[in-house]
Amino acid sequence: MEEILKTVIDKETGQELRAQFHDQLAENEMLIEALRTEPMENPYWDFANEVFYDKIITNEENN
Amino acid sequence: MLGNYKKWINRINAKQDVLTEDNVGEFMDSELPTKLTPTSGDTVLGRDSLTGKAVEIPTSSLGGSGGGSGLALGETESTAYRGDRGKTAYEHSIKTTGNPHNTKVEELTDVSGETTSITDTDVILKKEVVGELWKKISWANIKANLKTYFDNLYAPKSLNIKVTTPSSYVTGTTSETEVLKIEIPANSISDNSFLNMPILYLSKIGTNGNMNIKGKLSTSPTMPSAGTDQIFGYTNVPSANLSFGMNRIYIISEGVIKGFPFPVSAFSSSAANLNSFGSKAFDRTVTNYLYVSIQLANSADQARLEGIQLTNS
Repeated sequence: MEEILKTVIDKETGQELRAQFHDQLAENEMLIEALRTEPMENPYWDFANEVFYDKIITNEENN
Repeated sequence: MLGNYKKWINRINAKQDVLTEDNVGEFMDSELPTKLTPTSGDTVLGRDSLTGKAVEIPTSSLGGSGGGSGLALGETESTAYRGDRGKTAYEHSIKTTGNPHNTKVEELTDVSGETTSITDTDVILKKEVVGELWKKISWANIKANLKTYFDNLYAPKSLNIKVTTPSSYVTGTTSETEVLKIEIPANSISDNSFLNMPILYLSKIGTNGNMNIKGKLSTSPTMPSAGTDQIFGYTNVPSANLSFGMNRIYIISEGVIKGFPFPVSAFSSSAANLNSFGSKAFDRTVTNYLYVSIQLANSADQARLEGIQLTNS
């Protein structure tokens, strides 16, 4: 049986953490079936629109 | 009835001055009284303590239920003690086995140390609960427990994990994708030793684009993100199809795993750039996990881990 690849995101912030074939998760994580197909520097999941977006990191956030 | 008594007494006293157990048997049964349980007012046969002659004694002068002693039952110096209890007490007093008084080891004053020799059958004592009795432990049992303890502590470790079944293909995503998770059990790696990765082999089919390969050694049961706990990492230069292999050796010493702080070569069908790795904390006494991930440049590409070996020596 072919394994299904899913994306793991932070269930609070939507930050993309990794993709995996199994269902094991940490407490702060959740699985979504959507796979990101575009290269992004800092990918996040938009819960409302159900799309990935590249979150811009500002200087303030860096500091 | 009383006539028989008197005949008997006269016969005793005529025959011999002193009534003894020996001469009682010389009398005919017919000469003995037939009433054996005297009641109040009866006279019974006794012996004069001064003359030794048989005499009649009124039962009224014999005292209470204490019988012939004339003493009542009680627990004072002028009373008689119950015979059944006295028997039990006497039998208890002459016991020499079974610790009849439940004496505890700490109550003994003659327990001395033994330092000259010890054999397998020698016994020492162990007390598990305050107030409870001590228990025996043989030296043989102690040796067996010590052997188990030290074997676990000092026995040479031998870790040899081989994965030859390829992972599923990573395709359809450009996210970093976990393709392998190896559990390294607690204490399965020796201290002051080497962690060897003789071979890690990947393949990719697709179009030109960088492919990232990362290895992470972590205590986390899920793969850490990005560069956390990373112990190796490669980025392949753009190529359509790729075969990639590498071997690595790490040093385990005093809670740290050390790698190569400068780029090293890999076996690759196209050029590869190494992310250097210096060292990181590593606790070999807890469960660790080795993760391998692949990140495609193009979601339409396909790549998978073909195999890996991990050993410790």
